[in-house]
Amino acid sequence: MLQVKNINVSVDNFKLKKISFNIEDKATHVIIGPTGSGKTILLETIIGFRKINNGEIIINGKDIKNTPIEKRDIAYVPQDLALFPHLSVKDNIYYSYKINKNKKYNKELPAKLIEATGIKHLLNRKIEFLSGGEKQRVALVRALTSESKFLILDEPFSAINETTKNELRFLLKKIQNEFNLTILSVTHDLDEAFFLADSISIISDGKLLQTDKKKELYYYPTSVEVAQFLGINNIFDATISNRTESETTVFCKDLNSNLLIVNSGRNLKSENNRVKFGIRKSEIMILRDDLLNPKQSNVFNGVIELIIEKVSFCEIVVVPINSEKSILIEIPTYAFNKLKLFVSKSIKFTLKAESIFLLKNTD
Amino acid sequence: MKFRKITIIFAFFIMLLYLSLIVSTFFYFDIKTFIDSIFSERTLFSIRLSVFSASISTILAVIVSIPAGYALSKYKFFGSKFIDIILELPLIISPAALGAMILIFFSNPAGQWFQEHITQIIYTFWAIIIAQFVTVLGISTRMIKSTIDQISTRYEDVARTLGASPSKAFRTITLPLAKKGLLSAFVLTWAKAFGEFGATYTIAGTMPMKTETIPVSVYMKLAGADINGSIVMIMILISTGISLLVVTRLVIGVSNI
Repeated sequence: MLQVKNINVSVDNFKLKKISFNIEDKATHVIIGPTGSGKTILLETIIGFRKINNGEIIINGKDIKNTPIEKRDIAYVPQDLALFPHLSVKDNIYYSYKINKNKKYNKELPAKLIEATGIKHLLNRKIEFLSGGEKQRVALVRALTSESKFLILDEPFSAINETTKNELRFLLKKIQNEFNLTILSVTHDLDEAFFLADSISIISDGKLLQTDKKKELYYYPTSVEVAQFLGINNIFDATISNRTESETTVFCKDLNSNLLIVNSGRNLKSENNRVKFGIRKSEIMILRDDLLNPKQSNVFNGVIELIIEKVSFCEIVVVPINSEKSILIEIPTYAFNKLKLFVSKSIKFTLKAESIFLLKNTD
Repeated sequence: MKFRKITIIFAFFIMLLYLSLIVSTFFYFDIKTFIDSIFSERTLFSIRLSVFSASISTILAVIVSIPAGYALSKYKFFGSKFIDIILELPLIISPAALGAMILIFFSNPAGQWFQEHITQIIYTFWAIIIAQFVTVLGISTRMIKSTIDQISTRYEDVARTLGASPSKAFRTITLPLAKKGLLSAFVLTWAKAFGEFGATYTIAGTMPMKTETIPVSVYMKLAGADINGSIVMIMILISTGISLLVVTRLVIGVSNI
């Protein structure tokens, strides 16, 4: 288990502030954040390339903040892979064996890793003659031959094409299960993060915004910043008008209406009842006039202002009646065609009560 | 005239300047005197002395320059910028002044004590070594630093995570990757030491069969109106220098020297 406790790191004018998170054994934790948010500095600090001002980095109960890099027992694959260009693939893989001749290694491990990643035919090649995907596999095998069970990946699949990227993501999952690895990865790709992760941390400007299990983070972002980073555009100001154990009613001035929210179990504390709420564009349904349910909550009338057609879905910008703020709705292309939507058409839509989440009002 | 042509003319001007200097030496060239002179005991001694002293001073300079160049390239530490400026000292101060400074150093009480109790330096073989070492150390460190600058620190970082200590990561990763750059630094340092005159002349003097390196011999022969003799020495210097550069480019494949 890895525990990062309240670490502060300074690099020139940039600061990582009070970062804390845990990773369970055999789990994958992914750190996501925009470019320059401090993701790589955080990884480099855990590996030992950077000194921490204060805080603790604990692996299996031992604080390693003062342990030399070579004794931290962390396998590392950097973004540029850093395969040693003067060595063959085989010599890269067996590097740790050659420099630590006194250490007793599991001699079967490299062969197993080579087999699992399908790189046996590359062993005698020079690094410069490998493709991007092959280099990734070699770097992964090289890191894992050190027999560390804790693997750190920095933007692992950033420089490869989509097909190879998907193959490698599956391969990584397979290797993780086969060799019982605990993984910490950094990425700015949300799809990749949600594919690999059990838990996720979002970092911005050196601050940890939220750490959560993948599903919790997806459904219940706690701040506007996190929601926006997750691609949620529909965020509104509201005032709590009533709250029961199972439901919350808010008044939204932007939509000039009350809304019903099914409580998530995460009760947001708000001193003056002023909150924000958000909803994913895919969680808003356009209603057919002939199938209207009179008991349906959170139903609005609006006019289509803009239609953005994409490959497999459409984004529709709708302005609710008596409102100045627009709402973004996403529907599959087949539904778009069936509903015969066009700009300036009046429609009815509903914000699913179970899909609305409350956010802290930090204004 | 097009810009391209103008720039090429300047490049050819440089070539013509040096070629005309080299060709002009043939004006006094006499094959018989040349052969007699090159196989004379005094010339052979100068060649041996120059090769030997340049080799020793270069080895010493490279031994110091590799760790120093590495430190200046990889670490931020107090005084590193000052050291970086000091490296230029042998380039901006005339070799004669550098020699005079060494002479003054060995004339002070500490230097005198060293010469009395350890070994005589001034006007000996050791003076040649010190003159060459001091002259080439800066350039050798500068070249090795720029070689190491070009090697990503990420390689050593990864080697560390694979269990290598800092020195082992340096030996197994950075040193092999810097091989070509180090070799070219060695060759250029050697060539610079081989042709060193000003500092050597000042602290080792001009004693035939004792401190007469090839550049000193050129000066001595010219001072004695032995133009043919000095041409022999000049040709040895030119042919050695050009051969070293050509061989280095062909064998090592380094094109930036």
